[in-house]
Amino acid sequence: MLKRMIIKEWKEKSGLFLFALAGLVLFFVAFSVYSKDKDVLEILASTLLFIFLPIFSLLLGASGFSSEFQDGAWAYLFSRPVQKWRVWLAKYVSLFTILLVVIFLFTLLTKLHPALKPAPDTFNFPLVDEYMSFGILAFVLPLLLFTTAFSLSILSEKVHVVAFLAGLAWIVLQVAVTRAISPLLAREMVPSAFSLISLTSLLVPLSLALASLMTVGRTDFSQSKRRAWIYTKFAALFVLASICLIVLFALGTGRLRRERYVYNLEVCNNAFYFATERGFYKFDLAEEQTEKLARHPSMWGQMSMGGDKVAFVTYHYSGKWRGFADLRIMNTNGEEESSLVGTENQQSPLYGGFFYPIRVSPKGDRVAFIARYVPKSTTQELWVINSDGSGLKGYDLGIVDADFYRLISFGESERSLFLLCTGKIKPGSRYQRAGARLLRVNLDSGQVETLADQIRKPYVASLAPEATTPEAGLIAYIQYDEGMSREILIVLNLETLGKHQIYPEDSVVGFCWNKSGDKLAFLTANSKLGVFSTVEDKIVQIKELTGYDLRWPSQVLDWTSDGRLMLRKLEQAERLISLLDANLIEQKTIRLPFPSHYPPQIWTAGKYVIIENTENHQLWVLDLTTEKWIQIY
Amino acid sequence: MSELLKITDLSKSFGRHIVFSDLNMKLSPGKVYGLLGLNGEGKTTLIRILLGVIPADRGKIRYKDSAVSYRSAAYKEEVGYIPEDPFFFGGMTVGELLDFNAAFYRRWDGGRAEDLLKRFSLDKKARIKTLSRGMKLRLEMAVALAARPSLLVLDDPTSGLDVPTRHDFLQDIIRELADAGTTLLFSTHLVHELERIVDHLFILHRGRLILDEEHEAVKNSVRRVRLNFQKDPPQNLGIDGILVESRDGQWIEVIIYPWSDDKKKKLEGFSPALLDIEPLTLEEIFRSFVAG
Repeated sequence: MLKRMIIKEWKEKSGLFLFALAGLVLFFVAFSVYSKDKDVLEILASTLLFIFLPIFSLLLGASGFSSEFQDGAWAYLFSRPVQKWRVWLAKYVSLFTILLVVIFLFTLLTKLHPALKPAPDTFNFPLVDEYMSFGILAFVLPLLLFTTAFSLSILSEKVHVVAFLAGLAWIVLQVAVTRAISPLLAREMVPSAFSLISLTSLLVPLSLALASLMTVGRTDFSQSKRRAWIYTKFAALFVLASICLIVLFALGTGRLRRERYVYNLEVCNNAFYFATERGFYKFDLAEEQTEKLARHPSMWGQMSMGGDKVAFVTYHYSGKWRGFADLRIMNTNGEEESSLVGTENQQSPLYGGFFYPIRVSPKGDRVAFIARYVPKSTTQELWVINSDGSGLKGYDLGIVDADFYRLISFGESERSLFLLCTGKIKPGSRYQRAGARLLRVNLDSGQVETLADQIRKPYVASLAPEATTPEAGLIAYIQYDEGMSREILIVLNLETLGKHQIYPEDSVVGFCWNKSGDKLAFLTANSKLGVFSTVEDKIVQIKELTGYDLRWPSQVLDWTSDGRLMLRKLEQAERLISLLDANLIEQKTIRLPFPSHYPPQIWTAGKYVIIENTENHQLWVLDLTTEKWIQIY
Repeated sequence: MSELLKITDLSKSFGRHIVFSDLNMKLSPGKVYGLLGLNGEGKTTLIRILLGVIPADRGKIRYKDSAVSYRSAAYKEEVGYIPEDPFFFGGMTVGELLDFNAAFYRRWDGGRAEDLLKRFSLDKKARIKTLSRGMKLRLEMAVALAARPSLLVLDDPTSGLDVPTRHDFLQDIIRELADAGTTLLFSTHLVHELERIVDHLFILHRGRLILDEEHEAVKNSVRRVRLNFQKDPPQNLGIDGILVESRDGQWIEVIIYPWSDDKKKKLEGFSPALLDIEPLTLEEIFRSFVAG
């Protein structure tokens, strides 16, 4: 029956399919004609993804039962010896095959034309990468729109009316959900908010589909008003049930209560400091106790430590200054917390701005930060302020296409600041392969100097404080070498500005300085682990790894205080920490105290190792001497 | 199994409009049933309920002693349906329509479908939208019969057809099916068509089944009587079952159901100058029943 139904639907909807085909061909021609104009390409890509595909999906779904209504074939179909829900399902599957073919052709188009390849700043949803975002827009959204329109198609033979209603229902749903979850967003519980939006966006169309199915199975199709009334009742019932289910899920799984993401973690003065959306915590290594330092939650976990100071950015969630950011500072023992600078003052050059990122100087007497979205009259993006709130000074970096900055560290006795700047990337842009730039800003003269460009991901590895060795005056980063078509690990001498290629034989995907800054461990794309000694100025060890979990390579490596290297390992679905000696020989493995689907992040401090269980938002500490695990959060 | 289909207390209304209420019907195997009624009396609604196309408000339907409902599907394997308007999927060819329907019926007889196409001079490759109404009716018939139904329901299929086509259809096909043991429920408002083929009559009128009787019995029990009197005719004949009464001077004409010898004697008792008693055609019977 299904096969025959598919053939019938393909014949009936051939016009709609040809319309989609013609549209895709036109887009392809337009992409080819304007292949060098990135702005037009961006508009075309967005039109195709945000308008053409959704409208086609709506029209296809809305045409579901239209032909049956127009010629009375619904009575013919329902008089056949088959359950009515099977007829509904067969029609749904049949039309779904048409949608699939169009999506497949669209995918082919994206393969044929680079302008449609996922670009991070065009197709981006929170918490998922650009490929996943692209997938949601290209596959999931059309499917959900199609399902919504198909569900409503039992109500009217007028395709355009049904398509409009479905589109409207979708917009209302998104607006309502976004408003409903705004308290979560205000608390920066983005994963929870995203989960709720995703669940609602999935369950509501499913509810409408179920209501449609039930209506077909129970209602008199010859009475349009009664049909609409029954459908409305079922839809209301199922949507309500979905909402209850979502609420129960949120409460039952403790999803909303348990979301205590560890946003940031630093080691300072024999203690771990970590920021969550609930505030700041300190784990004292000597006393093995966790203490809450400040009740202010940090925005996106922004925190930086230096000397005996912790700086962080908070956000006013309510009250008079709701929506304004506040840069705060406190002592590492949690005392003397105060506001350094806010964005609520209309006279301030930072009025209404957004602070990201921040960096405290090694001595703790200065704080540097990037301020974006400040008044247009303000050209300065980099700001420095003393820890006592005095001496606010802005620097104009003069980088027109800057997308975001990461501050690496203060250097040269706090007279300069190193930061990394990524440019804006647009689909089809000739700058698409441009990497980030490493900048040095002279804090006295304000002079900005580009030290390196074409810096590649993982940015985290390039930018994290661990990537610098201020004592040694060295910065390590990964740079793309066009000649070799390879990512090369470079060590930059800040004094001479000399650049040393560490292992040009292979692309480097992750690296880590040891605590004293004289050894640099690195991982290559071909699973080789190497150690470069700055003292001997050569690679002292290189070894091919097997059996290690090298995903997320920027988080794989770390050094212990006694000079051992630590790696993650996966054996028969069990996660282990592996400790390697100076010759890169495995000394021992230690089993993780929790199951984990994803590779956990690892930090070390002294004789301790910290592991974040990202699935349950926990922090565990391992004492390497006793091999005892303690849950600290 | 005494009945093929049994309907008990079936009711249906659209909003405040009651289409029919508390209908009771029985269909026995191998007979041709005529379902008569004026336009808009609910014949199509009743048929759609029987076929599970729309639900009833109340009542029970049993097919071969098993209860069926709006959601039942299995019994439809044995029930063929020819609707009033041929609404085939116009883009299909004749052969594709047969293939489409074959997928629904386990009892589908492909050989019979081929034979029927030949018999009806239908080309498998012909597009349905190019067929005449008569040819579409034949195609509907081929589709219905290829599933070898035990019960074939025809919802006013011959309306709009020319007379020779209607005649062919009724004489050649319907009678043949009935002779082969298929039960037929034939709904029509063109009553004279059923004259020679129908075994049993149902008349649906104003939401009630006002006649449920064998065709022969009805014909034998309905009489038109013309009476002529030399003097003034009686004001009241005092006879039960007068469906229609008309008066014209010395003349009285009545249609009586049920007819009986007692009623004849009673009429003779009025000493009419002329007493003319004659049977009615089916169409006249139908008109008499729905006249009131």
